[in-house]
Amino acid sequence: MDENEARLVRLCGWSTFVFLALFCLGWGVLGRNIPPYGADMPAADLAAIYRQHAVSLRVGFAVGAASTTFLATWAIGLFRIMVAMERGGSLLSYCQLIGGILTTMVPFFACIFWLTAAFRPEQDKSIIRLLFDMGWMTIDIGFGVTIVQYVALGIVALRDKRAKPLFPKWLAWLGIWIGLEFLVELIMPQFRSGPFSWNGLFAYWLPFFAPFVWMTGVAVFMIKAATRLNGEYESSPAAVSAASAS
Amino acid sequence: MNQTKQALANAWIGLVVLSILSFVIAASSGIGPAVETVIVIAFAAMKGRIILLWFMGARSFPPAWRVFFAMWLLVNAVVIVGFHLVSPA
Amino acid sequence: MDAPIRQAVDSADTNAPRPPAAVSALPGDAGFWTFIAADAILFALLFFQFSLDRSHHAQVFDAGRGELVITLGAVNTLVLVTSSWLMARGVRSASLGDIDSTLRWITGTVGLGGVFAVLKITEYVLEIRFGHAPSTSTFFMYYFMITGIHLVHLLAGVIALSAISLRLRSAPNYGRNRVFLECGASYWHLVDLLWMFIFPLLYLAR
Repeated sequence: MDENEARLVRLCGWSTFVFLALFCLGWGVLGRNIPPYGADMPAADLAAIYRQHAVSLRVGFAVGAASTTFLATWAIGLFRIMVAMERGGSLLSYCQLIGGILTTMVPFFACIFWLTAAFRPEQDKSIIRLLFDMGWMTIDIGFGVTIVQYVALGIVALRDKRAKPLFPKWLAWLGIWIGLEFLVELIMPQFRSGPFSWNGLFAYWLPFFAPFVWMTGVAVFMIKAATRLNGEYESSPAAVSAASAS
Repeated sequence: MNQTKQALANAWIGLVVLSILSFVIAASSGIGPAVETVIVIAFAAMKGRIILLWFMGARSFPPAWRVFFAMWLLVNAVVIVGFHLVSPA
Repeated sequence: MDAPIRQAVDSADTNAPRPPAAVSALPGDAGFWTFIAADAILFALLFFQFSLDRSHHAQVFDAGRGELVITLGAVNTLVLVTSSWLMARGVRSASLGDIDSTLRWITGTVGLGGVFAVLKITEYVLEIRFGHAPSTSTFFMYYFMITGIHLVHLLAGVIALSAISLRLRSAPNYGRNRVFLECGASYWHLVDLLWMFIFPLLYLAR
């Protein structure tokens, strides 16, 4: 990839950190989700919290929703790198791209539901709770497309034949594992408390924070990969003859 | 690293013996719950070690990985036994 | 990966003894061990969470334990350690150039894996017939979840080993398939390793 494209891809890599910062600040801190309120919290208590903290909740969820834009830029930058890596067509690169773009919509809509609850918190507490539940069902059960994204990236990264692969194999396998671990969320709806409910160890802490750490690693290697792919291009016959022709 | 047929068979025998012993000890009524728990979990760690060393080839793992799995066995055993001992049924 | 090339068995390749292992090496693909480690950590967390919750409800947990069909669990333990042994024999055969034996060992491993699954599902059916579902108590929630997640891992292992077996069958070339075989075997041993703790934790410890 030429220098201009490499620069844009690097920006996409950096945008991962923008997503992580804004989402953790917005959804996490202002949205009061670290840790989240449990499914067994009485509606009256939940409504009281939404009424008391409406302003920060609104800011948090609006920022959280908007921050998902940078999940898209992350996926697009990854796409460009994967196209350069993938042999035998680009199908898996497209799987990552589409999976990543669709993943963008999952926390987005979840934040919209929570934002709606915070928008008019004086309303019936049952409605507040309904919107709250909807947000959690959305963000937790929308993992299917994310599995596609992570596994597609993993496969292409594992098949990289470079002496020093663009993405280390352990990072590829970690992404595949994290994607598959999301499947545990399938049982989340059965529980209103305990480690498998939406604020539990296996349905919240692991599936939220493991991906965040992994994404950081992916971003670091993306940024380096853009530079490396640029280097490969600059020393390729096509680039050399184009340079000498000009 | 290749194990001999005999070494693998011995490992299997060890696993079977420890498993049967665990079952028998748990089924017998003469042993107190705390002692029983310690024994069956210790046997679990021992069986884990047999699998790691003889089946998975842990002897030739890089040191960091040997430590990781040794810690994994130890932490599991200590955590399980610890919580069980502080709250007998 | 390139499609397996159909060719007469390359005697120089398959019959050659495996080169001595590197001084310090993980079997198979080193990166795959991250996957294994992650699974190991997941189950360590499950064991921790179970033990912690049990310490708050010891009577409920012990009562639930008393309702388990311990014999089936014990038989399954023997089934799984045997399948692990067969797997280890399979890896050994392959490294000595005897792919035919490896295929037989893998069939045995997968077969015993199937036996485990059938016995486990039988156990589930029995428990539910006795009136114990995941929603019955915290203990039974953990029982079904921990053994269920383990069962999913086991079934994934059965599928992976079957695929590796097919690959070996169609192209009996050890060099090309060594990494897959070793990764598959390591994963299977992990499934066994996990059960070594799951069985006493759920069925025996008091």
